[in-house]
Amino acid sequence: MKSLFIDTSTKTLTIAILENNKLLSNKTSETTNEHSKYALDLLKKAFDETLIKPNEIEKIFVINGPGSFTGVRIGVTIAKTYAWALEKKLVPISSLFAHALSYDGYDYYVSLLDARRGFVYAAIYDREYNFILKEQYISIVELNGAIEKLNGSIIIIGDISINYSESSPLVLDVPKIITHCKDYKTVPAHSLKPNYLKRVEAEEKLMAENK
Amino acid sequence: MKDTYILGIESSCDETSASIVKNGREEISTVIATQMDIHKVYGGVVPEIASRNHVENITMVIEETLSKANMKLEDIDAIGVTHGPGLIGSLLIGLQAAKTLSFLYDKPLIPVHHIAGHIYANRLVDEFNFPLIALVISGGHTDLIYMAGDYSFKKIGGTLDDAVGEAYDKVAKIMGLDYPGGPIIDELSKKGEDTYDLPIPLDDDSNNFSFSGIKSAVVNLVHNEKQRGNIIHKENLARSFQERVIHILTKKTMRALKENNISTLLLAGGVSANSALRERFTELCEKENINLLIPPLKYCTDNATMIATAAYYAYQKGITSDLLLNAKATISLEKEGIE
Repeated sequence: MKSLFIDTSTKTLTIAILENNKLLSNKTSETTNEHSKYALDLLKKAFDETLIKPNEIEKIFVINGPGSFTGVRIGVTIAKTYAWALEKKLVPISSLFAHALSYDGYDYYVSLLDARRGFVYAAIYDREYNFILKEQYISIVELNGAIEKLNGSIIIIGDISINYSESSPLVLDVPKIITHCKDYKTVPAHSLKPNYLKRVEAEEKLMAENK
Repeated sequence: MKDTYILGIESSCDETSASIVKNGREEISTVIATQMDIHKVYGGVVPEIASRNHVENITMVIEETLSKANMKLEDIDAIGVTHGPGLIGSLLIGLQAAKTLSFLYDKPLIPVHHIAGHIYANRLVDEFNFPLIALVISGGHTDLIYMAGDYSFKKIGGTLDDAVGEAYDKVAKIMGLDYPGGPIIDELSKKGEDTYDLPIPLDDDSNNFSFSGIKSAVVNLVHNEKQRGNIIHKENLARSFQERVIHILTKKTMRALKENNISTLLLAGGVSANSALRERFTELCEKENINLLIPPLKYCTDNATMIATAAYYAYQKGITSDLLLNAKATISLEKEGIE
């Protein structure tokens, strides 16, 4: 099975083409705030390198958040347009889960992304990648409280440090992610949307006023 | 000659739209998913909410456009997309969809300036006789554009502060009217008399406009009347405001036509839907023997039909982009065109 992997949710842009769990092309680019400009160019370069045609792809795996709202929308728009136009299967994957999957050998995986102002998007998984803490928008204080309750070896993966130790950097083991997620539920292209984990501030304000 | 079908995509503000236009003048199909009701409760467009709706709508809008035209992506000759100016997060959605389709189907990608789109909306109903002057009036623009030929834009005047549509919306807000305020002021003014003493905005020899002064004048007037316990006569205030605005827009535009010895004027942008403005320009142009082009109401608001139309003329002039095309919140129209 040939598949395409797209992630634009963090500052590193990643596009990969795989045959089963073998990487045929893995392109990354540190184009902070410029994913919009470079994503399609990188996609084209990935295809050029493999000699595979876009129509030969069977499944598209896309990180649909959480992360930078604008960043996530870029990957989601590309993936859903591609899947709709060429009638491909589409599988959304959580950024937090993808980052956790890319490490192994721990009892607990704390995966987080900076959501600013003392908050993060975070999830905690156990050794078998079951949720200990469901994905959510959570204060760093509260997350640290949840971490303190864990007994065993812990790795904290993220783009900011939340206590005294540095977080392990974000990496993507794309073959491992694809292998793990290959039988995940597919979604129709039209209904794919980002998983922001957070409402728009104007919505929150309006809801508070209407209470 | 072979027909050229262009797929246009527009997502610069709060409408997700796609359209197919044949040979730059025949609308084949258009779909517009508007978010107006979503933003109404906030009294204006909330950029992040707009972006979130665009990403949900985009593929459905394109699919429906194709199915209404009974066409497939393979039948399209090129893809035109608004890459600015506009809300950056919104623009990115249309742009990514357009770039993806351009890559997958190996179709030329044509970047279109949103205002070029508004100008070329007129091409769907009439020929352009060059040279001409375009008065672009919207929530973001108040520009006098000189066009020597197709896809050539030279700015000869513009607003120094607020755009005319922006002034309309702000004045409507002060008066406690709903969003968007322009059409409401237009409607109210029909029932009112010009009784309020408001200044004429920037009445000088230049081709420039300024609408922040008249906006402040309305703010002060409403404030003072409230303090005195007087009731504002909304119909009359709407009428007085609109009279001043139309007076200066028509005066400077007609003078620019005369000075440059030009006999074609076209109106473009959301404010060109204003009924009093359309009437006044129609009267004046008839009197001065000017050929006036006004876009049909359905092309005054944001739509992809105008983008697909403008894209055709840009394409004729050899304007295309590679996949590195990016969206920008502000772009100069002059630099988008040909010399």
